[in-house]
Amino acid sequence: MPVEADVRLGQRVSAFAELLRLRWRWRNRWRARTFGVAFAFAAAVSYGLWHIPVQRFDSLEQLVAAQESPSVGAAFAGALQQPVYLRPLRIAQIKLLFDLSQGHYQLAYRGFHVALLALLLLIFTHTLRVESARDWVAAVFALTVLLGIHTFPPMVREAFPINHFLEIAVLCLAALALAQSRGGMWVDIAAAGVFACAALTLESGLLVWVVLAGAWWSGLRGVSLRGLALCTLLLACYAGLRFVYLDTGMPSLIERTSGFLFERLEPEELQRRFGADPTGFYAYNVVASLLSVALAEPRAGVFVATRAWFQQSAASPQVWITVASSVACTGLIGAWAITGWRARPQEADSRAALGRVALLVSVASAASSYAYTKDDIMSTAGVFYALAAFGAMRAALARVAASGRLAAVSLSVLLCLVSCGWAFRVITLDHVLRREVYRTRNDWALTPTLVRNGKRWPTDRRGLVLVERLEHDALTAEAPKLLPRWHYRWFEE
Amino acid sequence: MTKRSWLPAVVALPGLLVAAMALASTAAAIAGRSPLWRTGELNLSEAAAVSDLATMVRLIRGGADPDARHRIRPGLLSAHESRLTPFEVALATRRPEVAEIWLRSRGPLGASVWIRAKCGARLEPGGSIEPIVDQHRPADLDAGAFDAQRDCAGVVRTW
Repeated sequence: MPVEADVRLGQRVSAFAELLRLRWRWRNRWRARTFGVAFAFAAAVSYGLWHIPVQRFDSLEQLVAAQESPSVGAAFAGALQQPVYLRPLRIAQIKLLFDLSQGHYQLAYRGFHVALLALLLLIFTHTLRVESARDWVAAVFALTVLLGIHTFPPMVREAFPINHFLEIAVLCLAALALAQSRGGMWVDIAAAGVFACAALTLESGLLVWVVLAGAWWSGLRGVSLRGLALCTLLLACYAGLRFVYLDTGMPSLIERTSGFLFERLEPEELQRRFGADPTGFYAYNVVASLLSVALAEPRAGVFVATRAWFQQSAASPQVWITVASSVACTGLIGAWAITGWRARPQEADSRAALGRVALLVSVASAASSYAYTKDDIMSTAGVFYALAAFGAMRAALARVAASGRLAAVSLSVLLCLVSCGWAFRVITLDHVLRREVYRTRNDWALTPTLVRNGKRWPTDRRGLVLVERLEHDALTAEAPKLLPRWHYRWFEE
Repeated sequence: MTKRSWLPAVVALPGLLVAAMALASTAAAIAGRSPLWRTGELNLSEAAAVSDLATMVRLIRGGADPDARHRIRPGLLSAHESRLTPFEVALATRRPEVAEIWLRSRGPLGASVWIRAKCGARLEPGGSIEPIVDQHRPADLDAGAFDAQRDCAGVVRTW
């Protein structure tokens, strides 16, 4: 009897496995291929990312603080007392990874960074919901937009020592994935958890609420009205905690340098020009941030390509390719918005919802960078721009299929040119990563000079041991091959 | 995509090509044959020539002679092979950070080494190295102990 039972069980398991295989094969063949492409990109970027040593600037101070803090809870509570920012989970995460690392700082912090990157690509690909060959072509394009957009390098280039902008982008995508799901009580609870984590990590984390609200408005009801109400309540609690209970202020003009038209202005100059009434400057930053994602110009508030054009000065070919590919892609998105978003949100295609959410995230990100504009702040908007690019390319491909022979060929050639521009921008990412490895290793090589100059440095024995370990990791890190001169001409901004 | 189904595929080609290159380069790197990541080691002067300060520090700590003239392969400093000390490379490339690493790696400088470095730095037309050398002036060297006309007589550019 036991033998017969085993055979029956074996047959059932085998039949179930066959069913799974068939479902996967026929329903998800194109999705699997998209994940394959995402994996290839993730592997290459992760390899470069892994080689960047833990940065000295801005990271060391955080690591020393983590070493001195008695516990994760104490780090969290201590961060609540900061005068300008409310980011307790950020500090608690640094402390948690520090404790878990057991001295293997590169493994802990860069490993976490690589894991976040893999998650970003995984959830991004998941949210595309690829079902057909056309979706797959559009998804490959969207992946190149995701990795090639100028707001992506800040998510891999720097970490202090965790890249929280990347973390926020992952959490926003997770919120979108929840909104796309079938829903339920646990989805609502998860959405609230994602919002709380994001909001307490960085101010940009409030974008999670924008994603959830935008998705609900666009017809994605995985997170129910009840779940959205819960998140709105948490948002109100955040505002109360920050502005009433803790009385944490807002960033002022003198926080840092910022771009304005054709130049970068130091805080003193900003104060002199706009100190009396900064409204105009704030409005400029919001518009500049919005344009930056859509057109890749201005960059960090400075109209780089426009300046080069008017002054007829030499700019890297990369500058022109970047602007041209962004303008073309935004044109595609605009055309898609005009023709494809006409339906009421509740009736619209779920891809149109991606476009609407992307637009809302871009506007909200731009509004949040009113005090100063930076590619880093717009990194989540860049991720959602890539989602919109997916919908736009998918719609354009549908038009190719419906066109006559000549129009189809012409349109395909045009789309291929746009795709080439974005593929070039992905290659630029490799340059960025290798340059960062070089720069960070050299920063560590020069550390004793900074010691002599009396800059920020630990003085106790434990702190010095920490620095020695980080320095050793950096100096022994594998170096990239030398970059030929033409490489700089083509890839340096 | 029933009709002309190959046309949209053209749009995916650039992205696929880059993904394939990315995967191939990662696989090669894992196998130790990376086209992008360094597999061979540089010597001290070569590291100086390409401003790889981290490798300079590591080599000096590992016992490499900072005063030796190492062979520099063509393409790193110039089109031809050359033999220079790391400090001469710093002067040739006008990179103060390379000079800083070289000076610092030696510990407290003796008067003769410092005077030699000072004379060399005076020959660098940009004048960016001399202040770095001055920062490392031996504490026991008197103010009037260095006389450029006397001490630098006969010192010529070797780079």
